[in-house]
Amino acid sequence: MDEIRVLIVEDDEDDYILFLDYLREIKGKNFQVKWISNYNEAVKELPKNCHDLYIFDYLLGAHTGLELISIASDAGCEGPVILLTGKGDQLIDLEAMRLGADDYLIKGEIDAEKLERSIRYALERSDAVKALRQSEEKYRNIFESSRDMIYITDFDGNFIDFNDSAMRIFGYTREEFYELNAANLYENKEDRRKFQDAMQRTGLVSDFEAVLKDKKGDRKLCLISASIQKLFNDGKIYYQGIIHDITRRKKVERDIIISEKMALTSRVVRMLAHEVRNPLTNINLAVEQIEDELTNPNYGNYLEIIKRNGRRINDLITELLQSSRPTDVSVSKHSVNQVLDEALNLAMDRATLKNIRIEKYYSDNLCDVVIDQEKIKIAFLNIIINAIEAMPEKGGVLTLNTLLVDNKCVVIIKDNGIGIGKENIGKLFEPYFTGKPNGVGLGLATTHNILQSHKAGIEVESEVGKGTKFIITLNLD
Amino acid sequence: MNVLVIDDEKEIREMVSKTLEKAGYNVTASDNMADAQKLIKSQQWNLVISDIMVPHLGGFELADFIKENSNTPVILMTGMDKEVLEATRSSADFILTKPFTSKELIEAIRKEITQA
Repeated sequence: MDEIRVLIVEDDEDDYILFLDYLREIKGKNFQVKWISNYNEAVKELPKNCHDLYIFDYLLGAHTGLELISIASDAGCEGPVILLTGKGDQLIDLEAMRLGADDYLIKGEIDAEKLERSIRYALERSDAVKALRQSEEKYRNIFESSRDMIYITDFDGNFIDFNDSAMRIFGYTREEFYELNAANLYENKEDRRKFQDAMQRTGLVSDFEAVLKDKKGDRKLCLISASIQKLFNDGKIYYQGIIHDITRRKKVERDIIISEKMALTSRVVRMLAHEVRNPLTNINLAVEQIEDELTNPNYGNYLEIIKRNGRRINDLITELLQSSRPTDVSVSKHSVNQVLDEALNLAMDRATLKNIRIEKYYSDNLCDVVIDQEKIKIAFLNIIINAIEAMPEKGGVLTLNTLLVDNKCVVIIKDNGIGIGKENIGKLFEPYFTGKPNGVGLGLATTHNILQSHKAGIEVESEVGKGTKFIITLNLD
Repeated sequence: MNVLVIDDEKEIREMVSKTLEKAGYNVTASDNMADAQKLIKSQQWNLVISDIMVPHLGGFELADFIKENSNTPVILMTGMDKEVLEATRSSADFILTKPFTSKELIEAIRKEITQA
């Protein structure tokens, strides 16, 4: 039989002995009783040991049992408290219950049966509360330590509660979140509308993919799972949900896909190069033999056409080879501003030809970055060339921006050209994907290849008709 | 001037040979490495020009084989990337990338023979 440790604080010894007798009469329970006869001793004893059950007399000299309830609770003792009061102290009863007493008994009306019932109920309730608290702690722990944002909003999207991951993922403070509506997190209002539709139609969504924006405006690709819940017994509907940020995972997946494609391409191209260059050699040499022996000058033009097209085929093969080769980088310290300027210079003729205005916003306090200067120059150049080609003959503005963010060097290359359709953004860095009529689709693949070998990041934001922005993030060391 | 041309592809072998003959060289052509090695051992050559990928013995190994016993200049022809190949250690004197013109071919040969 489990032992129940009882602390009785009672200044009247007769009452105490009476109590002891009642307790002994209760069958099926084994009480281990400690008796304290005055308030001051009780104050000393309470924080030392917790008991399973407390019985406090209301009147303890100049003090009251109510004070002891607070002391016990402050000491972290969770055992139930039964308060003994005089007859007719209704106000005390209420106050006692408010302060956390589990029951009260009126002195003079107590008998063994009443006491037994009171104790049994108090202990049962206390067990239930304890179990509930443990359960709440357990789920609170999941809630708080989840890497995903877990949240509750009201029907209109106002945040009611959320865990710390919300702040970590989106960069808002707790206070800012309360001011925010869930709709504000969406990059695209249409996505929010679809989410609301699904919620209202079916009461839940799972793994709804949407682009959300953090406080700085950075895009986060997220999976949202949510359901409608009646949470607070107030008759209102709430949304309870989880937001899983998959931006990083997507990026890694994208990089893997691109490098695998690159590796495959590289093998095919090497084979192709060999197979194409042999016959090209034959064509070249044969044409030159004919040229030597040719007497009719009219045929010279045709031979020139053969040679020129042979060169064109070879140029293509050379370009394929160069861009599909895995990049070995030999790095040293360089100024990003300078490398970006050098890349721009290589494209200056084209920019001038299209009357493009160039705006530079360079940060002066950029530390040098450790890069393969020639390769990074090519990486920048490919983006700049695309930007120039995307812009109209009139009113084109190319903006180059360098800045230091979170100890990384960020380069932004922006145009106000035709933009890239959503359906193509994902394929942009894949080899042989091109949006240009005469493009081969290797420029940005090469750029991606180079940046990846530098462990640098690249992001694109684009809107059809408005322009495109490439954001390159280089590590400082 | 005796030049040995090695390539397993008939048309290249013939075109290179013809171009060199026209330029006044005395050309012998071989389509396989076994014959080529015999020819290298049995005669004096002013220059050997071979494809890098010939069955049974690669061009690099051929160059090593030649340089063991002589300082006959060796030119290797390839459709691969010159930059990649140059990074590879090789005893070949010159790497001629395909496609080449007759002018490039003859200049390369003339230069290597003069330097030898």
